[in-house]
Parts: sequence; structure tokens; C-alpha cells
Amino acid sequence: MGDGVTTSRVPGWIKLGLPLVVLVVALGAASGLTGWSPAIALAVACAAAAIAALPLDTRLFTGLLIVAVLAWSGERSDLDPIKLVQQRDRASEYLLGRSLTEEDRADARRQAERLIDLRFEADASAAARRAAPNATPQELRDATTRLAAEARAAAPSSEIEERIATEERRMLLDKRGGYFPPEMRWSRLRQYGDALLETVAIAIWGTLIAVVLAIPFSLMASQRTLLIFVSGNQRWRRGLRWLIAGVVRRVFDASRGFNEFVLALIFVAILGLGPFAGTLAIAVHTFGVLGKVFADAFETIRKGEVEGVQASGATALQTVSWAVIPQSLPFIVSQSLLRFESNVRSASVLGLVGAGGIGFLIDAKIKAYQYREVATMMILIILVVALIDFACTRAMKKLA
Amino acid sequence: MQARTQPSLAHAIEVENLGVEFSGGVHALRDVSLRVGANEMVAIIGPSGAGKSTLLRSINRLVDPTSGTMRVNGVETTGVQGRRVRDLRAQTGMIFQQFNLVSRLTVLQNVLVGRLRFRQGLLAMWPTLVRWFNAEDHAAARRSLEQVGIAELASRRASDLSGGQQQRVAIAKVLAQGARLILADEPIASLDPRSARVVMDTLATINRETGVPVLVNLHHVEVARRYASRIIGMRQGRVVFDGPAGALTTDMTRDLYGEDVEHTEKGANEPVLASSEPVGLAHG
Repeated sequence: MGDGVTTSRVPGWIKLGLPLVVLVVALGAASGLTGWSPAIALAVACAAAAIAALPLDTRLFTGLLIVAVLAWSGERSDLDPIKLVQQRDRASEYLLGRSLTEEDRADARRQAERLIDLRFEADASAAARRAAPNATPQELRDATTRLAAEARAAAPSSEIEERIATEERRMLLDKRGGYFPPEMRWSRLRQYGDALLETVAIAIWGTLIAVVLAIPFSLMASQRTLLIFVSGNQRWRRGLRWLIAGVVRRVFDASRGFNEFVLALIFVAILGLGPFAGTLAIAVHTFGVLGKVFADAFETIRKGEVEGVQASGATALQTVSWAVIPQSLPFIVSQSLLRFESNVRSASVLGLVGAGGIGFLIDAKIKAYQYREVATMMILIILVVALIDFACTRAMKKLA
Repeated sequence: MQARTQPSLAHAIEVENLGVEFSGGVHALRDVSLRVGANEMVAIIGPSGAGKSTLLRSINRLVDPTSGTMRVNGVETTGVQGRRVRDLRAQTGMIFQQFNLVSRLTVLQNVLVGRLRFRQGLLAMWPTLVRWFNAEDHAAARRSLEQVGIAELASRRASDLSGGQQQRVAIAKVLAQGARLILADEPIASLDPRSARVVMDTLATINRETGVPVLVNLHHVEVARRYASRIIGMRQGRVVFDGPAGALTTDMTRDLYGEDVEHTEKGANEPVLASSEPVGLAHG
């Protein structure tokens, strides 16, 4: 690179020296005369030096340009590793919870005791109401107090103490916060499992709709398969093929261009909250991705097999089914499985915009500071995705 | 072989002033005229790039000619489109140098490709799209495999077969298709001498026993001389020789291939078909 006639005539010390001089001068000027941050000054100086290096050495030019881009983009994306170190206490408090003071413990104990008292009172109040439905409020209050005291006295003190301790532990965990230990109550697990199944269901139908639509469209987006439907070498036929492929490919670009999340927002606005909006969002995005991938694959099919079938007088659809599909089926299946696995992950966050799945629960729990429940759901998602990944890999190996 | 009601025509192929110009101004064929009789086996010889393949591919319209006229089996086929191109291809079996089988399908399925032409109605087509054929089609396919002597390979994957076996599957496909004309484009150029002999013998036997005309492109003058009753010599897109095999002299061959015939004949492919013992169709 850059060893053309021009560079060979320029002495080495100028080739390296001139851009370096420009670099130093520009750096000094940029940092001294303007109020720019060091990173931006470096970026501008490198860009200036790169322009100086352009006629002398392309390799130096490329290197300086890369440094300029990295300096600028690092500044714009606020790269700050020091911040990460400074905030380590906050990170550990957020993830693992804060350490509790004596006051917190006393508070928890008091709240637990009060909670148990309230439970006795609630039971007693209900019992009093049952015993004397027509009593005056004052009589009811007296009866409630009496019954609560009796129930308390009747219950063994060890049992009461145990109930208080259970509540106290829960209060302490809530006060401590953090993601650990993950929530493991069975009723909650069932709730998460249900939401997770909805997520997988969204991914299944989203992927299926996308695959079924992408196959015929991608046949129209590849020159090689279009030749089966619109044959001939005349100018207008070539133009027609070019036009069809262009239009279909732009449709793929448009479908793929929007993230599932953005599409989900649109579909929620149209269809209302629920998993159907998520399914369609996944389907549209995946259609764009798979359509392009399939079309590119069709572009590389072996022409000989197509001609072998065509030469027997087969129709266009027969040629697709007998010459194109046999060659590309392993690729179509493996790509679809790959997208399915990726769609399960996408579907698990779609709930954040109300498009169904476990994301809705995660969003609700984060807003309620119930991070331990979020932790359980995250673990479940990882397990399910790993399981699907494993199954898909096995299926692909079988197919190859 | 199935009984075939074939009108007695003087010529299977009639080509007049055929020209093919590819985009970019390359003339692959210039003013080619030739006729192939109803029961003939004709060989086209000539150096690489002479236009032999383009000529064969023009006849079944894998290539669109840019000028001239064509009649195949007495039917005008100049400039036909769509359905009539399919009809033309259905009647015209083609054998390729690279066999052009669908590699991921079985041998039997590849032969059934020849039956697709019989299942093309608005309703009849759909079962074939999911690889379903009726008993009649299966019987025809198996019969064709027996004819070329590889019935025992029916359930093997096409790509697992040797080159010679694959070419025989291609011939079985053409038989199952019930072709009334066979075009063979360098059928033995990718084969070892022994397989080449089997394939050429099979084509010759089909021609002899069923009367189906065969037009075959060949690299080797000796092979052409042995199998064809008539030889057509091509050079630079033109026909430069057309006559009985015996009339082709060494001088003419030298003209055809340029200076040294030896070099051309001993190119990538060994032109040895020493034994002349005939191999018949197994159950012809």
C-alpha cells in the first residue's frame, strides 16, 4: 500500500516527519487556543495530521484516521473507566444489598411484631362480627380486643415467636435489597414459568410467520432464482428481474431496519397490549433478516442442478421445489432455528412496552424494587435460552 | 422401452442460420445451419469455445438464440416462450457434462424429475411439489433405471455415486421423460475411460433400439468416429464440416483443431476408448 511512484521519491524523514509536525502543532493549537477537552483536541489534531499524510503514505493516513475516530467516539460515548471504580460501592449495594444498621434491625423487629398483632386483631374482628352481627361499634371494639388477647394467650408463645421471626427475616431482606438470594417461592415460580412460556410462544409464532413469508419473497429477491420465473436475456426481461429483486430487497431492508422493540411499540398502539403485538413485531423483523439471508443463499445455488430439472420440462414451481429447495433446505432450517433462539431472547424484553411475555413482569418488579424476583426471572430466561440453544444445535447437527 | 407413437418425420432437428450473440458482443454462433435425421446419431466435434455447447443449449432453449430459425420434431420452435418452451424441453432430453443431478435427492427421485412433465395440470402439479408421485410414475422410473443397469442404486443419494453411475442416472431420467430427441453435451468429458465407454454404449444402444435421434458433443475425434454415423465439425461458432464419419480426413481434423491434434486430444481427458465390445441395455 502507498508504495507508488509518488512516495518512492519522497525521503523517509519527510514522510514520517511532516505529519508528525502537523500533529504536534495542531495538538498544541487545539488544546491551547480552544476550550476543547483533550480527547477532542487529539481527534482534531490526528485528523489534520492524517490529511497531511494522505499524499505521502496511505498506511500512516489510515492509522491516524483510526486514532482520530476512536478519540472522538470515546469522548462522545463518555468512556470513563474511573467512574466504574468510583461507583463500586453503589454497584455492590445495588446488586448485593446494603449492610443493615442496628436501627434497621430494631425497625424490622418492631414491624414484624406489629404485623402479627394486626393479624390477631383482624381474625378477632371477623370472629366478633360473626358472633354478634347487631352489636354497636363500641361493643365490637371491646369484643375484638378481648378475643385478640384470648387468642394470643391461647397460642403457644414459641409459635408466635416463630411467626414474628419469619416476618422479621422478610422485612430484613426487603430493607437490605439487592438481587440475592433469588426469590424461590413456588407460587411465584409458577407465575414466572407461565410468563416465560408466553415468551416462548411469541417466539415460535413470530419465527414461523417470518419463515413462511420469507421463503417465497426471497425467491423473488435473488437474480438466480428470479431467472426461473422470468427467463430470457432481452433487455426488458433483465430490467424486470432487476426491478423485482430491487423492490423485494428494499422491503427486507425496511422490515429489518426497525428493531423489534420499535415495531412492538407500533403494534401495541394499533392492537393494544398483549402478546399478539409482540408476535407480529418479531415476525416483521425476522422476515427482514431471514429474507435477506435466504436471498443471498439462493444467489449461490448450483446452476447445474436448476438446468438439469428445467431441461426435463419442469414448471417454475417444480424447479424451485426440486432444484432450489433441496440445495438450500439445510441452510434455511439452520438459519430459522438460529433466529428462533435469538427471538426468544428478544421476546423476553418485549413486555417492557406491553407486548406480552416475561418482560412485563420484569418491568413491574423492577419498578417495585423487587430485585430478588427479577433475579429469579433472569436465571429462568438464561436456562430456557440455553436449553433451546442446545436443542437447536442438536437438530442442526442431525440435519447436516 | 415404452411403445412410442412417433410420426415419421424426415428430420428431428432443423436449424437455419442460427446465431447467438451474448451481451457484450461475443458471437458464440454465427449462421449455423444443420439437420439431424429421425434416427440418426450425430456427433459435433471441435475445439473448446467453438460453440458446440451453445448450439445444443440453443436447441432446448437453455440459451436464447438471437437470430435464425429452428424446428424440432417438425414443430416450429423459433422464439417460443413459456409453456411452449416447456413442451420443447419435455420432448428433448439433455445429458450434461457435470451430470446436473440434484445431489441431495436419491437416485430414484432424480429419475422421477423426468416424470414432472406429465404432472403439470392446475391440480396435478401440487403433489409433485412435495415429491409425491403415483404408482405409474414410480414404475416408469424403476424401468428406466433397469434399462441403464443401475436399479440396485435407486435409494442411494445421487452425490454418493461415481461419475459414470451419475451419468447413467441422467440417462435414466431422459428415458423416464420419454424424450423424442436426446442432446448430450460432452457426456464423457468428466469420466474415466471405462465409464465413458459404458455411457457412450448406452446412448448408442438407445439410439439403435428405440430410434431416438442423439446429437452428442464430443471432445475426441476417435470417439465420434466410432459411435456417430455423421460428424459435424465446428470452429469459432461456424459449421466447417458436415458429412459421414468416414469422410473426415486427418487433414480436416488438423484444420479443425489448429496445428497439433495430438495436443488437443491428450488434453485434460484421456481419449482412450480402446475396447469396442458392445454393451447392450440391460433389459432393453
